[in-house]
Amino acid sequence: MKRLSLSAKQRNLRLTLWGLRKRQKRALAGVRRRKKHANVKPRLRVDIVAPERFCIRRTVDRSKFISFLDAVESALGSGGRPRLNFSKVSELQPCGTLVFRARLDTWLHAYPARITCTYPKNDIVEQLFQHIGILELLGLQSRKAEITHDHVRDWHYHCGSRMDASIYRELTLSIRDRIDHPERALFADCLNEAVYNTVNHAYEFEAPGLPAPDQRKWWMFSQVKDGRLFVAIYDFGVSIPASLLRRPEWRDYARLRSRDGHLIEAAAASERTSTKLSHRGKGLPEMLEFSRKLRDGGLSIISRRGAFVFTAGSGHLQRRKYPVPLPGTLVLWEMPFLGRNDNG
Amino acid sequence: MDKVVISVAQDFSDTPAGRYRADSPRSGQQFREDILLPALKRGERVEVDLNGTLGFGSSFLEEAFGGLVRHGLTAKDLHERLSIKSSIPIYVKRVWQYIDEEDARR
Repeated sequence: MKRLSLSAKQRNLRLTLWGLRKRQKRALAGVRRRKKHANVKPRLRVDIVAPERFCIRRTVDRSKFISFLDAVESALGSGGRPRLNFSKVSELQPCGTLVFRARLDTWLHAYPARITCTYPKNDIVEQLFQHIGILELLGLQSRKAEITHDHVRDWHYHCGSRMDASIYRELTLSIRDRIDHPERALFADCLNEAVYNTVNHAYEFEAPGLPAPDQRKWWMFSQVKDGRLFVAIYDFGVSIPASLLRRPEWRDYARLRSRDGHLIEAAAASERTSTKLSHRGKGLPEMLEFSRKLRDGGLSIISRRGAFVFTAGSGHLQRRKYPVPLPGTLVLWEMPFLGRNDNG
Repeated sequence: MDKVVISVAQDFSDTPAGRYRADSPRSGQQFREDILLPALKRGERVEVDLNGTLGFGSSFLEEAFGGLVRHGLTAKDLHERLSIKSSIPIYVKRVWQYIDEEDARR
């Protein structure tokens, strides 16, 4: 083997060190590059077309509407940026619109600035979305200088996380003397108790799919239309059937009547309360009792796969079963005003 | 014995609702503890005027009045010293029902 001179050895050493430094530099650059890409995941925009009708009560509409909500949820969960295409929306029922507004609140809280939308093509839909703040929440400017449609102007939206009747003071003040009911003053009591029921029971235990603790709220819509009042109250909570099944005093009953509609009926129509204390959990029974004295209108309670519907006037009680579950509980209340002309 | 008049709407809130302080900013517990019970403990006769509010809700009324019995007063004492005024008779009936039911459970 050839013996190297001292200068050659020094040169070899320099080259080795230079090679090592170069490799180290390259490795560090790779780490930096990987870190940078790890922080900025590519998020794909996903166009999701909203259904024609926002409705929970009718089975076909409900399935399409809940599929739409699930698609948005799924896109958000997988890191996408959903763009809600409202071009086909033509009918907004209070039930579906309220559930959408509530879900939107929880999405925007969990995934800020990730959802956008297109303007609706239907003028009334756009007016309503502007009126209840949906367009603004989704980053679109209001295009309507004023809300002109009668059916839109009279929609009112409220939400809260505690039992605070001052939030919907204007609603109570404006309609309580107009309801066609022999004990109309008790409307406010029933409304308070329905909201309190939500505050007290909707989020009483942890369950998969519940919103973040600071988003555990109640949402309310009211609408005055054709001499009638509609009130919808929604919570995104554990649902009435799940709530009853957790209570020992309900378990035997629930085993015999496992359908959600039966359990909702029991919660609303039974003297049995949801706790062992006889003075607790009277919100739904009081609403039903009030509704029994209405000339027409009624009360619907929808939770998970079931519904319980009371039709005032005929006194008809009905249970319904839906193929697609609704998370939480939706209460729909409808009552006529005094002097309403049934023929017009 | 002097009679103290408490107006829920003027002395407490025109939107009273809910049972507990933790759930509501104008709850039955708060009304009972901060306004009603101190007056009753002073041994006075108390008249509670329920007029002028935008409803109550049974949780508020039960906690405010039924709660008096759970916290040491008796229905007999309350019938002697407490009077309820309201233009809606069912409120008066309910208040006494909550008091008497709670007393019967004791």
